[in-house]
Amino acid sequence: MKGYLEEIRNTEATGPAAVFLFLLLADVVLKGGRYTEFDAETLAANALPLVLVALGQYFVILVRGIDLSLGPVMSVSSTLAAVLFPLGTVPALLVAIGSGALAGTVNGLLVTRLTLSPIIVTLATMSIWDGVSLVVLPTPGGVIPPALQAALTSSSVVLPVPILLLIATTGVGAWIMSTRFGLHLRAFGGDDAAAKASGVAVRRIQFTAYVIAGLFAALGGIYSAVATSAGSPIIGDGYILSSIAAVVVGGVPLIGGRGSPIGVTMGALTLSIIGSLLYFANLSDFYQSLINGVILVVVVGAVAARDMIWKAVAG
Amino acid sequence: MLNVRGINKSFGATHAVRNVTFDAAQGSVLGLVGENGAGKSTVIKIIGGLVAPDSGHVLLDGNVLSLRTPREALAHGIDSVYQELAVVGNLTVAENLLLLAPPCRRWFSIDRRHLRFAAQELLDKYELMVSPHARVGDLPLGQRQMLEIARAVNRSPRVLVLDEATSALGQGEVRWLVRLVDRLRTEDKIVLFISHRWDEIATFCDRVAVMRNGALIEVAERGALSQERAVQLMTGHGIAGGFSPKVAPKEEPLLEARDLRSEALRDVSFSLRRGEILGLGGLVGQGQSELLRTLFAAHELKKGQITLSGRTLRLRHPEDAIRAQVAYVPQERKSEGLFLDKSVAFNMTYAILKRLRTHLGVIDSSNEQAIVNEGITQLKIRTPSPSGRVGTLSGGNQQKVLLQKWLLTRPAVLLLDDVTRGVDITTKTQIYEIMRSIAESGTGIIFYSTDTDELVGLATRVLVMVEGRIRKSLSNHEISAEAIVDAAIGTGTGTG
Amino acid sequence: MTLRMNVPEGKPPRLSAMTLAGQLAAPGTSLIVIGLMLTICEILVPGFVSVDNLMRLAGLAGFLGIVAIGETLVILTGGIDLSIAWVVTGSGCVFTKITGGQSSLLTLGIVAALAVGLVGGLVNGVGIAKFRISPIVMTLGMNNVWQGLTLLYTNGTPTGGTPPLIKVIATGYAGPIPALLMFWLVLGAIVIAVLRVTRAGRKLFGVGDSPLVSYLSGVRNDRIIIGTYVFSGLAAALTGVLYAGFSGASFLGMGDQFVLPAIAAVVLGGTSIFGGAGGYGGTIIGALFLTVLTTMLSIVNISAGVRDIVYGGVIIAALLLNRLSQAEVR
Repeated sequence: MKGYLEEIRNTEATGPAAVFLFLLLADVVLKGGRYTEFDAETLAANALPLVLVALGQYFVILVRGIDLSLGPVMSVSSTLAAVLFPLGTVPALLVAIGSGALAGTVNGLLVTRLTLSPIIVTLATMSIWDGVSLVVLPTPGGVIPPALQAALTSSSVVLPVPILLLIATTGVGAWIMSTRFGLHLRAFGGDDAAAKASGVAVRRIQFTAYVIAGLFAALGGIYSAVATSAGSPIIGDGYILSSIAAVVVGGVPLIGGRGSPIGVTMGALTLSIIGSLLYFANLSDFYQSLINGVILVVVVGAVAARDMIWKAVAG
Repeated sequence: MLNVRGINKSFGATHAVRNVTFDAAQGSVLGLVGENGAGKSTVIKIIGGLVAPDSGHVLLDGNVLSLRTPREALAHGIDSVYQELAVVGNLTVAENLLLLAPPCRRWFSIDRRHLRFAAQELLDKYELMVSPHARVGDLPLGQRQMLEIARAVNRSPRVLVLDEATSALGQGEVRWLVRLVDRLRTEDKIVLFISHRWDEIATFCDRVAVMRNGALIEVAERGALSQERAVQLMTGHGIAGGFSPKVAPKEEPLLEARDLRSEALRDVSFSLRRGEILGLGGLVGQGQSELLRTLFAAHELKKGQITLSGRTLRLRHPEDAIRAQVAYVPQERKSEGLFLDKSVAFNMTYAILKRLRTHLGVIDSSNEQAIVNEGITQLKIRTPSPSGRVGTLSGGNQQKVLLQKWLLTRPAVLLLDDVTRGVDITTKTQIYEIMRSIAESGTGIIFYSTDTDELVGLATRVLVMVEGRIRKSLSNHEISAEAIVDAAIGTGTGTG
Repeated sequence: MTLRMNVPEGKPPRLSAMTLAGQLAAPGTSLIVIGLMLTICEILVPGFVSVDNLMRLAGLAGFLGIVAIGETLVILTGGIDLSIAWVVTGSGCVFTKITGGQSSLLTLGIVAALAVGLVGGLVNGVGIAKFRISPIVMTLGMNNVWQGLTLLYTNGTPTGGTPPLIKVIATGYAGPIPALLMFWLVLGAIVIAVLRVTRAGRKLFGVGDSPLVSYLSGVRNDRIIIGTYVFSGLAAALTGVLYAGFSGASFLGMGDQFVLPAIAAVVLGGTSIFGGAGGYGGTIIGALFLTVLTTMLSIVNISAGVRDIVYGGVIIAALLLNRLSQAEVR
């Protein structure tokens, strides 16, 4: 536990955490100062899929890669679960999770064994998984076992389950980064040549990062299906950009090697809460994508501008 | 005992290592000396598993070793510390030291406190005054080097390979290394020590193997080899050879630099006359390259003024410098000077694209071909054709292509950044000739060289730099190897 | 001591250059597979392989081919443009709404549509070159911005029509040859020429091969890079206008179908995704390849989902083949 606490004290997450807390405060104010457990639960439930996918993207970005197929991977697991649940809850879950691992394996192999660029590889697998989810379930639907839904969205157990899941997910991410594997991820991302020369198993590290990403994305798809009571072949489409945005807003540079999973969670929460703030402000859906795009560009641009200004001032 | 038998390696047209065979006994230090480009680094990379030889074997205690990757070499007990450091900048000292086997608790989570203690233990064991918390990227180069050496030694290797490992170490740090190497000797380890500086070899090694042009010339006991003889073997001729008489510069001032101040430079002022060959000397990393780059607008100038033929130069981008007829030949030809994947013609004309004749925007190919062919002949560049990839040429020929690229810009001021490094003797002599002839025609040359003999043999004036300042200016008869070295490391008196 | 110019970080290890044979291998195998696919089409629909049909197919490939001009330039300098989807849609919507199908407003419509591409490209270029924002992030973000702007501009429902002249270029014929094909090939010839024999082309290759070497040779990398994104935006806008002409109207999401194919066309055509090597000639073949693939898949009469799977699978297979043939030729 102490190790996790040390990770939490990691300063790289404080910026994104501060941003999120500020927005949370704004949300509370907008709600007239009344913020109930239900509000928190709703925020957590809305954010959880994004948190999962963003964490997956985080691991790939750590090793200087990118995975554009994580959205469709979500769709695949969402549709697989919805279609297979009637055959048994546990088998369906296993298959859905397995699909994520498979997707990650494919990406990982293509990127590490064939040294193909992650951009073109994941663009192509994106098309494949899009197709798979359409084949499995052409239109949103399927069956979600009520028991599972109740379990994953209930409000009992100390804290509402969505919030527990959020904490657990972030905890798993932090745990992974606290292991030797996490250390090697940061080493490779920071200086791949030095890491290799130091004896780090660079191919295995990269490959595993992609597999983990697929797993996390699959979990995101499953939760999304359960929470919305239906599997959907297009659920993942919006998450391609938002997963990258959440990672960037969470303080993780795209060149890899740095960043904290807690920061990523904060970034995802920030994006989710902006979505709900916009909804509250009664802005039409049309603004949503515009805002998401602007946020992404502005945040990254601001970081770059800050660096440039810093250099000019310090000179 | 380590045996190296019949190693050969070629990179394209360059036969980098020719049939190299030598032995190193337990409890001894073997030095591998040679000029840059002699093949020492390649041999060592083969032993360390970074490069695969075309033929030959490496044996340890009579067993032939499979050395396909660095991990395999490590598994056999061969640990190498290269010039390109393998410590990861964004991790802490503790993380780097224990990168492959950090102490863990339940659930595989790294025990941070134990990591710190274990790292501190290592730091104490190896007398390193550095904090385990420190981010390696923030440490000075010397400490990073010591860290990596300590890490390698801690793995208890059978063979420790140090490739130019002292390049960034100060005097106290070098003494530290001497103590470390002595300890390794008593522990019956084998140490391979690579350097191109004789004084280091003399300090550390029991036996010396001299390489030249990829081949092993001689192996001798350290005591049996004098510096003069060693240099003779390394270069193929005596120490003071290969320089023709110098040409006196014209009287006209060409370039004037006044109170240049930047991240790396402190109040640098000097002037360059037409036809003058000005040398920059001093220990590595004292601001020489930075000065050249600043004159080329590749480094930002915070304060100061540069005038060329009376005009004040406003330099914001290398394009401005080139337009002002200043040319800069960078240090690293492979990553800074040439497009290795492109043809000789592409590379040669890349800086004079504006000057090529065009019809409606289309480059006149016969005009370009004529220029390129002339360029190739003029410098006697050995290439199968102008459209051959520069990457396949030998180091010397690559350097000639790079040089010609800049000569074609017909510069008034030519800036040369250690351009004879890693170049064979014949090409070096050619380059000296070129420098002399363009100086005669009025071009001013400022050149930085790590080779003191070059400075002595070519320059009519030498500026010795220390920590971004010009420590001493030596003219004509004042220029000598002793004077330069003296000013570089000694307690010289102010600026010349 | 850092150079003034920031060297883009994280550039993957360079592959050794492809020899001439290796460079031909990529589009070469594409041509072979095109032949294979046409054979399959012929088997499924006898009489399919006729001069008329082949001409029509080649003309169809023009939309992808034109938008891929921009993508080729951008990828050659080591970047990528993921904003083309909504630049195409946005400019198409702007064009149809402003012209409303009337010839008198044609020039205004084209100028407005191209302005969308120009502005998008400028913003992309400045963000990437001056602010050092990753091309993926920048162009993905801009894609969203254009999506939002287009939705707001059309209020969810694109309106208007296409003037006859554009319709003619997009769907008309000059004898047996589709007008679009001629338009495309003329443009293509210009692009190939510019890349091969002009100074700008040389600089483009230089910047893509090594920005550092290019910078130290006095080339203004930033200007070149911004230029490529501007051309990419313009090419996407042009495609939007032409495609609106082809369909008679603009519709939301009409640009989505071009993103993966444009990038795939460039890569399959032999241009290195890391920049510095390749050209537009290969992209032309890549565009033809992908268009024949799409046509074959629609003839085979399979569901949309399976089509996507096969499409992605074929691209991966083609990439694999490229990589393996490189290894041998080296």
